[in-house]
Amino acid sequence: MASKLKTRIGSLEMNNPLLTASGTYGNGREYSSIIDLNCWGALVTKGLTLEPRAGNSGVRIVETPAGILNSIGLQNPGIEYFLREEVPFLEELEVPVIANIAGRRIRDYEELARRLDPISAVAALEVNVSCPNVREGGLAFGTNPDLVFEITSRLRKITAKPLIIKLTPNVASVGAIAVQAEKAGADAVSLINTLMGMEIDIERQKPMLGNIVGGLSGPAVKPVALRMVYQVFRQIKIPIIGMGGITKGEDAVAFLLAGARAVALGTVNFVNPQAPVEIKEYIGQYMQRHNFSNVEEMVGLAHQERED
Amino acid sequence: MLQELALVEKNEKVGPDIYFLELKAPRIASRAEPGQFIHISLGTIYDPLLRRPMSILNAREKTLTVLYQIVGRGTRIMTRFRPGDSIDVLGPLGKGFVLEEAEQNLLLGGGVGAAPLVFLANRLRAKQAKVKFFLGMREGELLFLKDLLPSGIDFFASHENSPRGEAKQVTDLLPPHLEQNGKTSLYCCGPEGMYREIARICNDCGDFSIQVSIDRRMGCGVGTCLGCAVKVKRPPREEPQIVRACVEGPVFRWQEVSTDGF
Repeated sequence: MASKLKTRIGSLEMNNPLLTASGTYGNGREYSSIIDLNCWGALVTKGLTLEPRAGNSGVRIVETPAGILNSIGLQNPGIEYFLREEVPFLEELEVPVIANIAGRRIRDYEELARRLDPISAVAALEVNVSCPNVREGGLAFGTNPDLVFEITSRLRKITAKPLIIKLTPNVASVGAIAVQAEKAGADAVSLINTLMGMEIDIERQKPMLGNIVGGLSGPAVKPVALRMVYQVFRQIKIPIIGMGGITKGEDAVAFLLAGARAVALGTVNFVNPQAPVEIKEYIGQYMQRHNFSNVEEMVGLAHQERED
Repeated sequence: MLQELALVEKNEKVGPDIYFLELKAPRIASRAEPGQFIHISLGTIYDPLLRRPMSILNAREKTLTVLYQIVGRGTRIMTRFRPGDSIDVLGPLGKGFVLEEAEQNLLLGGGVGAAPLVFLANRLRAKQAKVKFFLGMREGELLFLKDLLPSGIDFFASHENSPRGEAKQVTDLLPPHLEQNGKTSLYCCGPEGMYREIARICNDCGDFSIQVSIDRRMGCGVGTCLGCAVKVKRPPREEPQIVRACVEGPVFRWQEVSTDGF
């Protein structure tokens, strides 16, 4: 049964279609005492920048109905620390690791790709052009189709590792941007980063988050994410990694049927660290029930002309 | 960190909106240290979404106890736990108190948040240390905590609603106990305003150290989401660092915590 869950993103082969969503799993270390990290198809690291970043001040996380708003602000110890302290840990894992990178200028992304390209423990790069929480988090790139083309084609020249462009839902047409990523040579796109939102503390008469606005994730965003995956699937041929509020097996299957070739779990990790094990099991059972022999057969199946 | 299905043994109202939860969770209980916390699943899948971090009132052999107050929907849902229910618990989490060698140990707690000091008092007394316990409350609603303390502890209470002239804040009780030779270790659980006041009172008092438990909104509770940031300054490093209340804390040395903006 295990082998039928295999899937691939460009040249990256994975034992199953489940990834961690960047920023929800550290680099795996924290959860390794309660779960076998090799249960994942791939681990996606916390967003990396060239320099260390302290992140945003004030309240960074607020629970909302069926979701959370966060405004962490890309806190991370920088690429030097990552290469020195985290890579040795990641090298020991069997599961492939995808490094998520973010920058302020195009040359930051280029430099990060150059530094990560020779690292064998990094199987692919996910390019964050969609962080809603910092001015220099790439959102200025991610909302502009020409800049997404520019950044993707420059990185394409630097690395042969699979390039995944993580797109923001906070635009009028995510499809137009995905098309540019594909044209520029991306191997896949990740859909979606968080949706911009806010909450107000009515007793203090102030925004709840220190940064005023933040990114909404969790089950509340699932229908929005699913719709975007479905629409973008019709516009590009490269694989889509679907994410946004996946909480149980049924959600993951829905994303595959909408057109995702793999799915990422984010917020659910905070709630139920065993979610990948449970979701993987559900997908296997679902495939058996519907006589699918591999994940590929399910991808985009919801698009077929209905006869009933 | 462990994940364990804990069996609810008791969940009783012990004061106005205050509850005492007793869990059978042998693996977590046997590893827990004073000041650490557990992260409890409410059993709701979507809403409220997140687990609830709860400090540990006491841990003995197979049993963990928690003291909580209804402050919102999550804690209200917790009041519905019934003996015999199984709840999903992560723990023990975070870094607890460092038990120091000192002439005297002063434990200062404000409100329900004082809970971890009961666990700490037990550990300190097991080492025959000299312990004084100071508890601030509104009007006696937490006096039952005295019965959970081991013998040989001096217990003092302050009441916000007490008549003029008596101690209203837990910090009002502190000054006479600082006039002595040798090292004084202070262990504090309460609001940050209380910590500031304690530090102010201690300022000219010679040899003392202050450990505090810092409260932050948490997401994951295990160190991955970076939601519970605390700004600390740790010499010899000049510039402040951002650390996680859930991993590097919740217990910190007060003098290293900077509260501006975080």
